[in-house]
Amino acid sequence: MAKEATQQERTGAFWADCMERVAGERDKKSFMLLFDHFSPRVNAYLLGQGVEASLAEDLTQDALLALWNKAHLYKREKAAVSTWLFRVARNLWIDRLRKQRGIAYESDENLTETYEPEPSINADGDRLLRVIEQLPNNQAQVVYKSYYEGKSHSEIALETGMPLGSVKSSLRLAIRAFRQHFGDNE
Amino acid sequence: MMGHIEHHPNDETILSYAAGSLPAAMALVVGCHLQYCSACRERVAQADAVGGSLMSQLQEKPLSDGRRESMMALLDASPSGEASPAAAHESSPAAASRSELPRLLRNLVDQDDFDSLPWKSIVPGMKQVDLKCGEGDAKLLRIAAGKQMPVHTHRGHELTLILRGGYSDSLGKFNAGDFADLDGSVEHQPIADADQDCICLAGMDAPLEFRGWIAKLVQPFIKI
Ligand SMILES: [Zn+2]
Repeated sequence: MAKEATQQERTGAFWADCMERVAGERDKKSFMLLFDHFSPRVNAYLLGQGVEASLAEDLTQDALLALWNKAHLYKREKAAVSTWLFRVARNLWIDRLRKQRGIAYESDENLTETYEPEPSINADGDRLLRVIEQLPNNQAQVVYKSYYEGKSHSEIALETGMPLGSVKSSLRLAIRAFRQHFGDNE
Repeated sequence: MMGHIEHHPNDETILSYAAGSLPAAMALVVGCHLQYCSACRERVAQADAVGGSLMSQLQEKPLSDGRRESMMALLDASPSGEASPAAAHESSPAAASRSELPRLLRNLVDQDDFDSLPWKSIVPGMKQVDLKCGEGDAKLLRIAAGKQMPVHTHRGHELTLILRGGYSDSLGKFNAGDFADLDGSVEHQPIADADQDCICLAGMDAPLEFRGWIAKLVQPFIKI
């Protein structure tokens, strides 16, 4: 049975527990907790990418349904639930609105069969959130435009009036901050 | 086939690939590199985690009334928990591993060896295959053993993955699996290794610009 948790206690570990109960016990209560928490966020992501409102809701349902059907592929030591859902939502968006880009991403099934496991990825999305909140404005802006609006470097430069080189260096600095979170000291 | 990989995509290229914001031609080159490079697969996984955290932080946009109920009905309709079969056009891992081509490229051109591709000669010692990717400009380039490409700069951002053989230029030595991530400011003149043809996959967001009068003369003909 799903352990009750207050809003405060619902961290990455709580959602990973829910995923495991969905995979192991087909537990609908855990699934609906995931649905209630993540569907407004997946929907917001898709709306940000310019998906029309009713299609965004359809795709959100598709993403959550994929979570229900493929929960057995989820490995908590490899990714936070939010990361996993982000990938699913991104691929659904590409499939519908940027079909050409679909040639560049492998399906999850292919990946699990052919790629070696890489356990060193830190699955704790909660600390990462604090890194993101502390980014300087210009870095936050280019990161948001990349992830939420699907904008390429040159499109961002055109839109913001930043030189292309500054777009790239802002992204690079933001990644350096993220990498510190992942404990990579290269 | 792929030895130790020395050259990788830049950080901002990895981030944009994970975000889904690279034009198709460039994203394809990154996706093919990932098949050979576990270090970059991990970098992409980290960038995916950034995407997940950002998504969690968004201002919530709840679904319309009735969506929650219809979601619950969908669960009963698919209670098996089985993975859905991979789409028909995708290669099976066993078949793909016998191919000379990276899986994603193989899906696109439906060939298993480089020699079966429709190579077109563009200048002596250089052949290419245009890839239809619908966004940006992607092609395979084949530089004959020991040959030198004309000097060129890049008007846009060009990504190159070496698939066979190798080349050298002012930036260093590039072997199979290596990735060259070049922006508009770079001018270079790659020379293929002497022992075999060098085959590369290149993706860019703008056409190349050649320099020098010989190059200007040939540019209209060698549309690379
Ligand atoms: Zn790499």
